[in-house]
Amino acid sequence: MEYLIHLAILFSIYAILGVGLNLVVGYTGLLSVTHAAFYGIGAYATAILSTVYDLNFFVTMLVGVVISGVVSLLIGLVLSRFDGDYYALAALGFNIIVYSIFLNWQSVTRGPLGIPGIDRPDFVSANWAFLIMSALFLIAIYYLAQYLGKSSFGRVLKAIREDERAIQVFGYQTHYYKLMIFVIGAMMAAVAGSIFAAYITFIDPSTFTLNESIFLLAIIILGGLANNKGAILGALFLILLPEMLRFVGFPTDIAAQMRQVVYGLLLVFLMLYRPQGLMGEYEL
Amino acid sequence: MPTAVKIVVAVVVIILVGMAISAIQKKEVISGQPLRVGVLLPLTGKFSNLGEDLKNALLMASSDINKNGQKVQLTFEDSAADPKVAVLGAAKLLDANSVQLIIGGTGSSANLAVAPIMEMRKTPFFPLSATSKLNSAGTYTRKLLPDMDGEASKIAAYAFAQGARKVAILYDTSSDTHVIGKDVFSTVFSGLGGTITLVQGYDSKTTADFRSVLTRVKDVGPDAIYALAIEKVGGPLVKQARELGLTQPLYGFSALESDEFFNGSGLAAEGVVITAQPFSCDGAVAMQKYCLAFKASYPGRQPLLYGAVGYDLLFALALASEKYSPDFSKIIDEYKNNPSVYNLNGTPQLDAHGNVRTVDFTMRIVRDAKFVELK
Amino acid sequence: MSIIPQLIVNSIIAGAIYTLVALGFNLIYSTTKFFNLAHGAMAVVGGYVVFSLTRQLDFSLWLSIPVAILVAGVIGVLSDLLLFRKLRERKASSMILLVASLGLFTAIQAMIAILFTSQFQTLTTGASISTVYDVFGGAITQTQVVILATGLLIMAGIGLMLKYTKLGKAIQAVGDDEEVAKIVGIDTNKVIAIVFFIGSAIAGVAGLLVGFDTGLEPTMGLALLLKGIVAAIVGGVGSLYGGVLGAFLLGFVENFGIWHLSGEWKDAIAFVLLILFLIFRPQGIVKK
Repeated sequence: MEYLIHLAILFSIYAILGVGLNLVVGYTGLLSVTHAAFYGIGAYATAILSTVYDLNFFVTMLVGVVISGVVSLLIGLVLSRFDGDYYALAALGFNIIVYSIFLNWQSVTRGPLGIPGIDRPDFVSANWAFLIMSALFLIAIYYLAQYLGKSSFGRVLKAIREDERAIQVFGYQTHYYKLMIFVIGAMMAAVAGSIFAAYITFIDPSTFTLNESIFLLAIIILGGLANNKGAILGALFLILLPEMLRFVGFPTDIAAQMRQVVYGLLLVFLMLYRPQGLMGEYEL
Repeated sequence: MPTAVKIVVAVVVIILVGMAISAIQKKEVISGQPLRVGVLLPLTGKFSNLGEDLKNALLMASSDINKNGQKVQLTFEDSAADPKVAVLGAAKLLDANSVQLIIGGTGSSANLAVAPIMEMRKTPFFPLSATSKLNSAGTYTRKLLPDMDGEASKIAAYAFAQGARKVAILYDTSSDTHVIGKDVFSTVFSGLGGTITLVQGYDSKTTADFRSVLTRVKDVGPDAIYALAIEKVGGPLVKQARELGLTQPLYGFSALESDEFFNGSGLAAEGVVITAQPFSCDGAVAMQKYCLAFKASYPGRQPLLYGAVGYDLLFALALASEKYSPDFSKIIDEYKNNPSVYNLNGTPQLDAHGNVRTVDFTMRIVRDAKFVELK
Repeated sequence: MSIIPQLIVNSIIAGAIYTLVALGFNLIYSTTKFFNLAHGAMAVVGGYVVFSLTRQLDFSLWLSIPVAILVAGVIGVLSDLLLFRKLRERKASSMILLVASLGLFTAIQAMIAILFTSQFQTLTTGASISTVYDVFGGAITQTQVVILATGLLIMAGIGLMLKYTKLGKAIQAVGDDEEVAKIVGIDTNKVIAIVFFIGSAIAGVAGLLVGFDTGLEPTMGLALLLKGIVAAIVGGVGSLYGGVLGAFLLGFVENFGIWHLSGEWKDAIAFVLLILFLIFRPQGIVKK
């Protein structure tokens, strides 16, 4: 039972990440491969502030969200000059740079030694209570994303995805919209990061690599771009699938690699036969 | 709902049901006697060689112990030396397999992430790590490898005695143990009157190309180099150092001692000196016997320190469990009194809590692609 | 400072390796216009085929190397025939191709890890110490000289092929405009398949050379690929000479960059370079 609760908590964290990334990739069409960087900023904010300064969890989350917002604003300003593949490459570059900072700015992040002993708020010291808290965050973010998607702001985003030049003709400052949604997505990722840090109680840079960003991309592609329910479904599937493989009975050393094979082939088949994902309305 | 979604939901439900069933079933089988031991070790990633060694040794131990009836039951899970994966692996062992204790393989970040969970579940945890952080990781955690501090101070003294006054230190930035090693070495060496001219970290995850890092070492021209590296990484490191023209003495620590090291270094390793732990296939009778049995069961694999410690531990636990089953807390107390049955890694000295703090470190040198005792 | 010759040597070696990766990558990009991430996997394949033939099956080196290069090329062609061509026919966007290539890369890398374990392997028999030459104070091993020579030879070879052979002209035509090339009567699918073969084969060479120089690990593909991409973009994506320039520039910036910073920042430096170029000179050094 505990094991299922563990899975559910991880699922809710990844669902939050997926929904946030979906706003950037699915609604706006920007192939952002740097989401893990903001996930990391949120996690480190909570980790550092709660261990060194003993701040309340929610306060640390707020700080993490703010820092993530500021950093994403700066990165986003550079990124919004790019399109398509170049956007992806530049985003990828930023992920690696931010990861390098997590790894090497040791006076703040303790580098690869990581930060152990992260506390969680007392009222969620039991895992099932923690699950309820993270589920509540997920629900809140889901509704926020739905609201954004259906609003006129969301319509502009979709228009940017379909044909940016056309909507510029109508006088819309597309740079501004692209930047805004990137920052919003980054702030959501920071929320997930804070939850993750408090849950695992120990973080180190190895969680926030390029591979993680790619994994997040796979979640929303699988679930279906520009569909928030799809993002959640994608997270559910990609968290459960590897765990299911644990029980299938592969020799344990092979199991981890098999998960990668399955995950890679899944991406290939999705692109070949269902590029819009499970619930998507939009192809890349 | 589109069909695809229906399919996914169906799959998810089947998975959940399957896991629930397997959990229930296992509980029934388990209501008997054997000690249920979970093993959370790195089967993938940079520690995979060490993880493989531990797994083989534990399998061998379990088949020896169970010769007259099943007394221990092992379940393995990959930790990938990654905290996220390890936490889920531990959860699965605790819930789906209802293990009574967990042995942790190398990988301090994974072990540190798992320790609080073991604390919450009040389940004993035996990580095979040397990082002193684990000494205080919780009432249920007892680490199995001696503190790195002992090795680092010993080799610092040796280097100084050999005439070195300026030393460059290389270490893997992602390893707690290495950081402790570099700090203790620096303190001891400077205390004796030497200077550390360069401390250079490397990231073993991204590359096996150490040339840029070694070029900086070449730049400072030290009298000796203290290269903290595990076997898989140390091989290419040593080879590239010699190729670059670094002729200074190279010092390392016990994690270098494995044939995997020679795979990467070849003959370039000649003359490398390390601090080592007592375990050796040319050591005491019990160690020799262990090595012969290991090589017979696993031809082509060299028995390493980690498996030996694991083998010893399982026997200690099995004996304790025979004496005191089903009173589990007495089993752990018995372990603290008799932590080692065959003393395959010498006589470990434990602290009051039950952590291994130190053993009689020795020194070894490479001669002809083999580690031999340094007199 | 006496260390500068060594830094120069290191930079040149790194540049040569990145050149090999960038060459194949650029060839494929210039004809198909998408970033083929699976390219990195071909390098790993090349390295591991040599490993399995020499260490596990005891074949001679003279046989294993050509076979490995061939296998890498074949797998590259297969990836085109079975996957990328189908997507192209469907007029899939370049992002779909990118994601598909990413999936393929992940799957191939994991399969190699299953077949050969995640252990670090070396291609040299490990018994002998390699011959080291001294170049004005910088040390360079025999293997590294081979890498440099191979890189230059292949670059020259490809350059000549493109300029003087019919195939080369066809490749350039497809690169310039696929539709027009078809109209003119070029079998674009065949040309692209050949490009995949050549590009992947070159990647295979890169992989096995790195295997001889440092060693093999299933995860080495991604790091090589990323550096190759940086080199290609900095140099001017799609331009072969640009890729070479970019590769050597990257090699120098990385090695001289960490001279004063710590070695741990090497990757960050490479990507800062990339982003600077993307901002200030996105077409790269050599405009196409």
